Amino acid sequence: MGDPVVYIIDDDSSVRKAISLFLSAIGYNVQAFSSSEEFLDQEPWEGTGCIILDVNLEGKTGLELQDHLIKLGCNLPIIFISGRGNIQMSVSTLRKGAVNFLEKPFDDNELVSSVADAVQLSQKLLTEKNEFINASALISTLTARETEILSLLISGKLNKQIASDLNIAEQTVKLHRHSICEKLGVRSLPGLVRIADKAGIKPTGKIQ
Amino acid sequence: MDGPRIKIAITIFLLSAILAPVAYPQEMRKTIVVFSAFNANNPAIRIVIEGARHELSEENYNIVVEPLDFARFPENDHVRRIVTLYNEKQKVTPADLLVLFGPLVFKELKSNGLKILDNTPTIIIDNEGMSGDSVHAPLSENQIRFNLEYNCNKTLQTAFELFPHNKDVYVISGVAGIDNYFTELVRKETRYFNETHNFIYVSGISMDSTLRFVDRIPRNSIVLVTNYQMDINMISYSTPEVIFIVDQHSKAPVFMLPETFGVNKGGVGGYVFSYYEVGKETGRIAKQILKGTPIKDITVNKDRFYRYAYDWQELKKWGLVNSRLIPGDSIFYNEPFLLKYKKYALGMSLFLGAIIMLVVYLIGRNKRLKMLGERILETEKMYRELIREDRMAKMTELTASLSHELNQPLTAILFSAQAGKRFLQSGKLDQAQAGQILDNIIEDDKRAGGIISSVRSLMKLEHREKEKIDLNEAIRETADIFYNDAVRQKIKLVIKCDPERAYVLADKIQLQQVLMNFIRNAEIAMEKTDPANKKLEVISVVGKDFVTVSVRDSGPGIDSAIKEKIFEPFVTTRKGGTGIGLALSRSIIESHNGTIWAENMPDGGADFSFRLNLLKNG
Repeated sequence: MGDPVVYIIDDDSSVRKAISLFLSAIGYNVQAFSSSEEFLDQEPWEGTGCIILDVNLEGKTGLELQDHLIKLGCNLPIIFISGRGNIQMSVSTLRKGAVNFLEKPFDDNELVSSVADAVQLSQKLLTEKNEFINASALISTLTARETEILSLLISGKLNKQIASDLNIAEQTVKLHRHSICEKLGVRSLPGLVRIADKAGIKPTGKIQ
Repeated sequence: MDGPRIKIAITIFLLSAILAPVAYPQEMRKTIVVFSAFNANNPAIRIVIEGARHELSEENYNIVVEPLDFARFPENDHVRRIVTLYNEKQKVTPADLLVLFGPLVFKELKSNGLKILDNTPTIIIDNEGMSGDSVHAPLSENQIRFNLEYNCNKTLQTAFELFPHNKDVYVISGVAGIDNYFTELVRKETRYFNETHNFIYVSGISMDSTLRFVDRIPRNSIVLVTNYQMDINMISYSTPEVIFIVDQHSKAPVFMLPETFGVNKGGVGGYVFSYYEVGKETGRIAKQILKGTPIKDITVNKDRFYRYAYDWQELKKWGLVNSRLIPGDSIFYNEPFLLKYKKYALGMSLFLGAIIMLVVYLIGRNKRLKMLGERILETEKMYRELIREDRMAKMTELTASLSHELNQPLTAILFSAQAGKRFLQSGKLDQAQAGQILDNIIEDDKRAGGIISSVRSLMKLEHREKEKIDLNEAIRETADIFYNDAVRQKIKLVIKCDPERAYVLADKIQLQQVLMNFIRNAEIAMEKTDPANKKLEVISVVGKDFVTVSVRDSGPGIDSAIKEKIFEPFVTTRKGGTGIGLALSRSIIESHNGTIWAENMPDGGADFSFRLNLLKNG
């Protein structure tokens, strides 16, 4: 997965410098930016890490950058820092998925634990993302009929029921099921359920 | 059927026959809709409508006012919302006639799609000075337009004729767009009087400061209130009220441009503009239109918009009641009742009647005076309240900005120190890095200290000793400091000191601080200016009571986004600027009982000025 990168975006050069230095002293790989625009100019980072984001930036503010990143589907968790925030602001950022909202001057331990949480979260998000990609890749090898049968299978239906639902012979269902298991590289129904879940395939029909 | 029943039936029939004509068919009531550029309480529109009602009193009509209030809602969406709402209202009560009063109303309603504008007769009262070319936009055949032109020249002239010895004219106005418009009108006229009179413009300050300033205006001056809709703290006022209060504070006579704003409410009067007459003319035109006269046959008569009007009480106060300068056809407000009937009070019975009238008048006058006194007290209380709220808000804002400003260096110091500690713990701290960290901490600490001391200096100014100094000397000394700087930056530095000595009671160091601040700002403002055009002027002008010092540059001028609040703490457009310099300058000048202001010059560049009282017998 590679080393996590901590991005810090703050227009106050003293604060930016000090926090960068502090986090690199702890051992993080740090990159600092003075504005949202400067940050967005970079190649998007595919690995793990987090963003420490000042609320009151000139140009695109921290809050606007958060919205923008959500739209872009960026997975990096955000820790907000602010010189003059308010409760409403912090609630709204947290609701949109920010890890924490720290008011300056904040404690170093607060920052360290927030960054650790954020990095851990980003690892989890990245793992999920990779699993989704892998699972989707496997699912995409199935034929339309097989995908249809898969979603019936994971909803807990028996071969016989599927056969009657689709108006085909039970033997045909068995053949399809065998082929599905082979393509997805699993042997059992729980295995099918796991992969379908990761790829976001929903069960159809009533669960029994 | 027996007798009594028939009688009752006949009675009922007769009664209903008698009563029926009483419920005569109701005539269709005409609706006149007035769209005004101002808010509902604007005195001009109120008086115009009063005038129109006077003229239409015989007609069966209904006047509805839709205020657009451009001053409070400058955004374009606002008009669109009102038009949408009005298009709905129109379905319920259709308008028979539209009156559009004030600058840009026609243009805005038209561009935002007011439906009835195309097929309803419309009277447009506009103003070329504020609406620009849109007042020449072509009209359809059911629209009529007249533009209001204000003429301050004659107003000033009457004031000067009545008070020939008062040479200093204080022009007072608010900061709203319309306030500036009227003040600019006066400024244009002053070229005719520049030789004979000094004009001092009091604008861009709070109502509180305005009144404190008015308190100090000497008796032998003239005060002219042009328009006052909003002060620098964005608090709204009404011009007649302001004239009333200013008159309470002023030792000098108070004049105004429109009659109904001040005559009768504290102003002396003169050749003044009458919104009432505008209203009457509007009413007259409306009557003709509603009666079916084709619009092309209607002419507008603006002759009566200006007239001589005076407050009799004010004339008496200044000993001008019998002045030959007051034209005979003038209108007098507050004229004692008795005076009008002097001729008839010859016979004994009339004498008796006059006595009764006198008693009635005195009682009424007494009551009025009492009410007036109460009103003054109430208004003053209100002002004090406003000022207090104003200060509280400023303090809160200052505290919030201060904590924000301090939080930055404090956060930086903490993390620099913590970084050093962590490097030390892991054994990776080399000497160069340690030095760098300590340097950062020192720099941030100094920054925090600087913020604190500048705030302290803002608060502590009043306690310094003041002495008699020559401001021109202080200017030359300060300019000397900048001479080398200016040469290096290829700035043409021009010092124009008035040959008169400019003695003031002041703290020289502080005033030089203000000058240095102005000059340094000017230098920075011209950083990107073509060296051929870089010019910095320091000018002093010694008047009768004041000395004015201005620092002018040829840079891009003041950013309109912060122009209004440029003297407030922590307001800056400069990267790394603290926003303290000009706030400090304002505190210094105010602690010297002076005024400070900033404006953009017509041909580009900024002008920062302050004015101080000259030392008497200096």
